[in-house]
Order: sequence, then structure tokens, then C-alpha cells
Amino acid sequence: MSRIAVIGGGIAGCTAAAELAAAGQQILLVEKEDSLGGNIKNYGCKADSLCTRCNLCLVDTVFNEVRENQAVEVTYNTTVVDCLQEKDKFTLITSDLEGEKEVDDISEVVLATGHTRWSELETGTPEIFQDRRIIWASDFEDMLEQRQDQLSGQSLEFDLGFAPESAVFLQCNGSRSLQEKAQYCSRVCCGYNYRIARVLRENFPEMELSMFFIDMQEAGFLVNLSRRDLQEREIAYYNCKPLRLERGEDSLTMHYEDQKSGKMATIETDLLVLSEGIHPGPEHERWARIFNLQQTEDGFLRPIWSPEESKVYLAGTVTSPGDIATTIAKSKTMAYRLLETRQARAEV
Amino acid sequence: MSGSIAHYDVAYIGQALKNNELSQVTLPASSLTECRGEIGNFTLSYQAEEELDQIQTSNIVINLPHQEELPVEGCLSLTGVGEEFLAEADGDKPLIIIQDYQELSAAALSQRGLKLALQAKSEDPAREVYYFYQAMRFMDNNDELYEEARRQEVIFLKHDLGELEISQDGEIFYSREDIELSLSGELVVAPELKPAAEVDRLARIFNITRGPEGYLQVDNIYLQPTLSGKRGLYVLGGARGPNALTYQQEEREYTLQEIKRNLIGVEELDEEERSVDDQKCVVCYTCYRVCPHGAIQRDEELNSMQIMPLACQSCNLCISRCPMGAITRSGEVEEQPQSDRQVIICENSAALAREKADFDPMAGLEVTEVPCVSTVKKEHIYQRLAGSEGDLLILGCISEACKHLTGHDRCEQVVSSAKSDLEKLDLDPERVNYQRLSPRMAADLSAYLTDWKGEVLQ
Amino acid sequence: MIVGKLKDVAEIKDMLSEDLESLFIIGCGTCVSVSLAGGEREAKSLRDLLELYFRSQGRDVKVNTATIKRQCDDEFIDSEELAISEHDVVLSLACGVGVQHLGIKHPGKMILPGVNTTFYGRNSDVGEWEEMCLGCGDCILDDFAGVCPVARCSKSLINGPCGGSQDGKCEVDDEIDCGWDLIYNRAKEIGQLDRLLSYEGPKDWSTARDGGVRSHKNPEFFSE
Repeated sequence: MSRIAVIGGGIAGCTAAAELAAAGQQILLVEKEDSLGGNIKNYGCKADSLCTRCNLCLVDTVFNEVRENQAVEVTYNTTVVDCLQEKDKFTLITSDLEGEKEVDDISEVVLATGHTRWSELETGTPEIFQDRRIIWASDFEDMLEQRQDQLSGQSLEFDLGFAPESAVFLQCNGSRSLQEKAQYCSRVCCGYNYRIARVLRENFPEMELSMFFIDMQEAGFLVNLSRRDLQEREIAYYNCKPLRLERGEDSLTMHYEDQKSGKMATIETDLLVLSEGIHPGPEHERWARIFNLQQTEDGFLRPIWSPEESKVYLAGTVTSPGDIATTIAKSKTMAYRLLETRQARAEV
Repeated sequence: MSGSIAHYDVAYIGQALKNNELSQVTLPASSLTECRGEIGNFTLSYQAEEELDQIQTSNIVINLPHQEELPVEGCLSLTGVGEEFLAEADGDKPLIIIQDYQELSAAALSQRGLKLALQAKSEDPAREVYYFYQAMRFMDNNDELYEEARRQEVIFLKHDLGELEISQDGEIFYSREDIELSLSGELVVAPELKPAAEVDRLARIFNITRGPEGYLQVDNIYLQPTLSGKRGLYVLGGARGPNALTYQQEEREYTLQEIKRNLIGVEELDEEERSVDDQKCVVCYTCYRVCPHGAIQRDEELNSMQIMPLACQSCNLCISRCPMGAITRSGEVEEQPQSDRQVIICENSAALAREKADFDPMAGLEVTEVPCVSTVKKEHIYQRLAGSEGDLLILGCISEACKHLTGHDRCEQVVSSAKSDLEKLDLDPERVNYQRLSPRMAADLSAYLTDWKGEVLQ
Repeated sequence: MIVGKLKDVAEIKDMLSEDLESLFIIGCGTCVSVSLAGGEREAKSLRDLLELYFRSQGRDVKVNTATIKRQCDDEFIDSEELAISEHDVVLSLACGVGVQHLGIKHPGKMILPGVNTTFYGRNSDVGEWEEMCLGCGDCILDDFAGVCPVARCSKSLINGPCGGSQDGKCEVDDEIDCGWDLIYNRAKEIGQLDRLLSYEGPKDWSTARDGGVRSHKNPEFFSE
């Protein structure tokens, strides 16, 4: 029986693989790292006393399904370097620790290699990132995975070497910016930083919290971020991007234009949390070439022909930024389309 | 009898979604009187002309428009103005668009506002267009529309930076430190969106739990994007939630694809069989009312409740709440506790956290994994305490993150009632613990269990 | 339906004598099951709780349960005759009717009540009941737009509300709806406001408790 190749073992790839396998298909899942999970592997729960709808609860079951389902073969430490198409079948050239291999009898390809986080692109001013008071939001994810405040009742521990009394979140960092070649909105940062701020507020009622936005976004199917939410939790908000950062010995000073008065103003903080825009994955040029796809102006992938014709299905953030829920929903939709096409073909 | 009833792939309550492949029927919400059956085979009764009629359908989509409330009396609604409005406009009067007047408007309303502003400029470039807003929200090409509108000299004013007042006769006063404005013109305001009409009645007919503000979708991550608690029933638009307008496209695509998937074949969600003993059932409807998945109905012939096997999502809540013990499941085993350290864990949270931990934090504990902690009956708690000298720990999901929507809350109710009864008899209520966690709290779980084991051993 | 509420376990415990050796808990499978007070679930969990308690006291008390369809009819009780005779004490989870009926059938047996019979009511939400009827024996709902002034006005007034009606709530407790507010609104809704204008004479309470203990016969079962 020919197999469906799913490239990428993050939540998009695994959702597709799990859905397809559940429907009786045989799957080859190609993962470039040594375990499943992709970007969200080590994210932490962002609940305060209530669930904040970060959607992480949904993902581990999916990864387990993929691991446990006999119909899915997962090859780790493997990348796809080329693809040959003959009649109705693909042959993938994969590369793993032992060298290159040909995998034939592939009927469809689901491409789900995800995105790159802005922090991984290593642009910007290096000396800033050596300052332990300036961190990426994703550093918080690791801290939250280690949190012991819910059950054990311990206070949230910062892996920073100091306990901040104030924090500023900087939104629209790495996207919505001409300079950073990403004019689009990444659509996830408002949501995650708002959730992180909520966890901080719950643990440290006295902490001073502020957020700099260009605009507040709707943060997914369920989280409709509003000014009132921020006010209720005493999170100050500034409708602008700060213009300058000054690193003093005692604190960081953010200089910004107060939009009300039109004058420059400053805010001091112990900790600066940078949001990070979602950028196209590093292999997009290769995928475009070997699977006959287009890249959008922003570098994400776009099909030339419909997947029903090309048999190449794009799932998750390869096409555009999205949160976990959107990624799962999009990926399921692709899997269902694939199944539908298969069934239609079988009936003919 | 059922042979004569028409069967469709999907029944729309409200507006149909465009597609050519599915057989479909559309029923107005107000005509609907009853829903029986489950995914693949629902029977809907509705009022047709003079008499009651029925159809059968595999899937149901409730797609109703939001009800709108205008925050300003006498103004026009952003969703209600079409091209003729601009064509007939008096170019000497400025066009004033306001979004986010009280609460932030949906991104879809930003898009309509921007398009309206651009249309007005293309009809008459000389016309003044003012656009008051707080946040320009992204979807599709909103950013391009916004840039274009700026180029076309639409005047954007962030009204939360100053004071915006609208007088009774529609005059606008806006002031902030550097601006004083007094305007009158044609006022178009983004409406505030409220749940669709009839959602109350529909919630009752379909026996689904209502979410915040009365929408038909409970605010729960397991129900995204358009699922209801009931399999095969989808809620869209003004039936689903306040930001549904922004996700119209996603709602549509996902729902249609899910329906097509269902048509390939739907299977029971687990292998266990749950059945109601019709001799014991007193038709009190408790199971029907507590079922988070609308999976129970009355069997008219037997006059007893019945669990619909495809609709059942296996939480066991009905079993633990049945006053007559009339509901049983095939896999249920009466077990006697073997140890003094017993833990009951939910397979969707604690069991996953356990797997993620570096070392098994539950080593040495007697662990029972359940599909939902709502499986736990009060008598289970007492039996386990009686069977050992040790403690009992129940681990459910974070508040509002339960796959079975109300399951973990229902368990907490049972536990706290049991604890209060223990206290009344001078028995130690601290022997029973209920805690909540998420699958990603492996570190927290390990630390907590280390402490707990230590305490129990003392 | 008759609505009941399981008694506080401490109260139940206090009813049981120190030298008790065996206890038979009998649930009732009709009204009090539906009002989640005295069905099989309550009987079994009470059994398990009491067992736990007796054990903690170092006492060896045998506790058994059965739940029968109705404790107010002979035929259902008969099936438990042997079990009843084998236990020192019976704890009935029926309404007051069932407890007494068991007593009549088993003259020498101590029968204890495990449930407080609260009222005749309706289910108003999951796990929630509301009083609707007082059983006065002379229904006057037709005169009051179908809302009972006797049961739903805290003072059983039949000629309009008292001065304590505030914003639709009762002065006895602001959680209680004013019965007369409900009567007025419903009468308005169905166009019967004019019927409220007529003066109602004093209610004849002889059909209620004031006429003494009540009983009645269905004439179809009796010949003159």
C-alpha cells in the first residue's frame, strides 16, 4: 500500500498524521529533529486560576497518537532534500545520519515544516541580548514549563538570576515592520504575552506590568483581547512602539512618544520581554522548488495548483502565521481534504 | 415510518453555507421544535405551515447572524450601509466612521470601515472622511486598506487618546491635548455584537450548554473552531461567539470539511458500552441535564433514558450522577484499594503530565486513570477511604480546560460535598484531595507528589 | 412532585444508638430519587460513609441497603420484608409518607427518617427545586392566572401583595420572588388583570390542615 508522507513532526504535521492514520491510511512522518513536537515542544501552561486558552492542552494527546499508531512510521533526524514525481507517485530523497535514501511509493505529501521564530533569526543588536534583563517571550515558555505554582503553591521562579519587580512587554517585534521585512501581523504575540502577563499578575499582585502595542489584536478563536481585560488586571498599555532603550545600571529605561501629548516620555523597568514575530521556515525556498510552490511576498508558501491536483498539501504555519488552535484546525482541514479526494478517486 | 422522511447530509438552522456537493436543507430557527438522534442520524421536527413536519440529517449547522446594538442612537450601522448610501450622499457633509466606541470592534468591522472610507473617497475624493478608532485589527489585507486610506487622506483619530462625545443630534466633539474638533456629518458606527436571536430556545432543543454571554459555544479549547459539545452539531456566526465575524472564512471551510469527513463514516469514541437499565431508570432527566455532550435522550418506547453511542464522548458523568445507579459501563470494575496512596487521574491532563516527567512521579502510588474525573462517585471516595488508612488524591484539569466541559467542576462538587460530610462525622476531610493541573505541568506535579507522598507516609 | 432533601449526616448519626448492631437503609425510587435526595445513589453512598464512620469508632455495625420503587405502597415493601426483619433499625430515605408506611407495615421495628420532606415543587434547574403547591385541598389557580398565592406568596395572601414587595422580591428573603408580582405579570400577559380586581373572601381552610387529618376515597371503588 502506498503511503502519505508528512514532512514535519510539529503540531501541524502530527495533527495531519493522526487524522489520516485514524482514517486507515499508512503514513511516513519525516522529522528533522530527534523527537516530535517542533516549536511547541517545551512551551508551558499559561493558566492563571483559569485556563487562558493557550491551547497547549490539545497537543500532547496528538503527539502520543502519532507515537502509538502503528500506521505511522516516524523517521527522526531526517530531512527531505529532493522529490521526484512520476505519474501518480512521489519518490522522496531523504537524508539522515547515515546518508541519503530514496523513499518511493508516496501517494501524497503533506508539508508541515512550520515557521521560524524571530529570535532564531539572530538579527538585531547582539549586545542587547547579552543583557539578562532583556529576554524573548519564548524564554518565558521554558520557565512556565518548570512552573510549580499551581499544585505545589511555590512562587514562580525566574530563570534570570534576579527577581524583577516590573516587566514591560514589547509587542509587534519582528513583524508589522518594514525594517524587519515582515509587514504582516503574526497574530499570536498579543495572545501569548497577554497570557504571560496574566500568570505574572496572579503570582505577583504587586508587580508593575506594561505592554507596548501598535494595536491590540484579536488573539484567536477564543481570546478576544480587549482594553478592559488589561485594565482589570492592572496591565498598563501604551499605544506605540518605544523609540529608544537605555540600559542603566539599576533599570532599563524605555523612551517613547506619548501619543496623547505628542511629547517624549519614559518608563523604567527591571525586565523587558520581547515578543517575537513568526517568520517563514528556513527551507521554504527548497520546498517551493521541489514541490512546485510559490512564495508570498512575505516568504510563506502558497500553492500554484490546488492540492487535489498537485497532491501536495500545505498544513499549519507554512502558509501564514497562526496560533495552536488555528494550526490544528487548518491541518485537520487539509487532512480531511486529502481523505475526501482519496475517497472520490476510490469511488471512480 | 422513518423511510418516508427525507434524509440530508446537513441541515442548516439559519443561513446555509455555499457548496455544491452536500445535500442540504435550511430551516428557520423559529420553526424548530425538537431534535432527536445523534450524528449521522438526527431527526429534526419543525413547524411547517399548519402542521408539524420532520426531516433527517447527518449533521446540523446553526448559522445565525449576530444581533446588533448600536452604541449611539440614530446613527447608521457599519454593517447596514451599502453602496447606494454613498451614491446618495451629500458630498458637503463629512463621513464619520467610528469603531471601538465602547469595546474594541471585531477585525471584520475594521475591514468594513476601511472599505467604506475608501469607497467614499473614490466616489468623491474631496469629501472629508473621519475615522475614529482605538485599535486597527488585522485580518486579510486590513493593513493595506489602512495604508491606502491614509494615502487617500482619510483622517484617522485614535479616540482613546482623547475624549470622544456624541450629542443627541449626532454631533461629534473630540478633544485631546493638541486637537479640538466639533463635527457633524453622516455618522456610521460599528455596532456591538450580541448573540443571535433564539439561542436560548436552540440551546434547549439541542440540549447543549451555553457559553459566556449566552452564545452557543462554550468557551473551551476543545470546541474549536465551530464544534459544539454535541457531535455533528456546529455553531457559527452569531450563534458561536463575539469574534465570529473575523473568522467567517475559517468557520466555513473547517465546518464543511468536518461534515464531509463525518460523511465518510463516524465511529464510537471508545470501545466501552454504556447502557441504561430501563427497569431502574426513573426518567428523572438528571443524566440528560448533566451530559456535557447532549448524548442522552428519552427512549419513547421503553420510557427510559438512552445513551446514544456515537454521541457519547465517554466521560461517565451520567453514571456518577444517576440517582438510581441505572447506568452501567462494560469496563467498570469494582476494585478494592490495595495501598494507602491512591491517585485517580484524568487521562487528558495528569496522565499526560505524568508521561512528560523525567521520572515517574507516581511510582509507588496506586493509580487509576479515568477518561474524566467526573467518573468518580461519592461512594467510590468513601469506599477507598474505608479500604485503606491512607489518602486519596484526585487530579483533574485546570478550570475551564476540561475536555468534557463541566466534568472537572462536577467532580469538584462531589469531592467538596464528600469532604463536608466527612467533617460532620469528625472524620478527617483532608484525606481526600482534589487538585487541578494541565498536561504541561510535569514539574509541578512531580514536586507536589513528592510532598504528598512524604505527608501521607507520616 | 414531592421534593426531599437528605438530612445532615451528623443528624442521622445522632439518631443511631450506641448499641446499634445492624442498619438497613432503604432508598425510595420515585419522588425523592428524582429530587436526588433518597434514591439508590444516596442510599449507597450513605451506607459507605456510615461504614467508614463506624469503623473509625471501632464499632462493628452491619449496614445494608436496598432501593424499592415506592415506599408508600404495600406491594413494593413486601419484597424487603425479610431484610427488614433481619436488621435492628431501618433508615428510610423516602418522604415522610414512606417512613410512616414502613412503620405501619412493621409495627415492632424502629424506622428512622433519613430525608427531610421539603415541599411539592418543580425542578427549576439542574439540582434545584422550587415550591409550587401547599396541598391546601381546594385549588384556586384559575382565579390567579395560574400562579398560586397560597404557596408562592410567603404570607399566603389572596387579595394582593403586602407592603413588603420590593422590585419583584419578597421581604421575607430577597432571594424569593414576590408571588403577587408573578401573579400580576402573568395575569397581564394573558389578559386577565380584571379578574384580580374582584375581592376574594376568606379562604376556606377546612380542606387544608385546619379540617384535621385528611383522607379521601375514590368513588369508583366504593359502592353506597
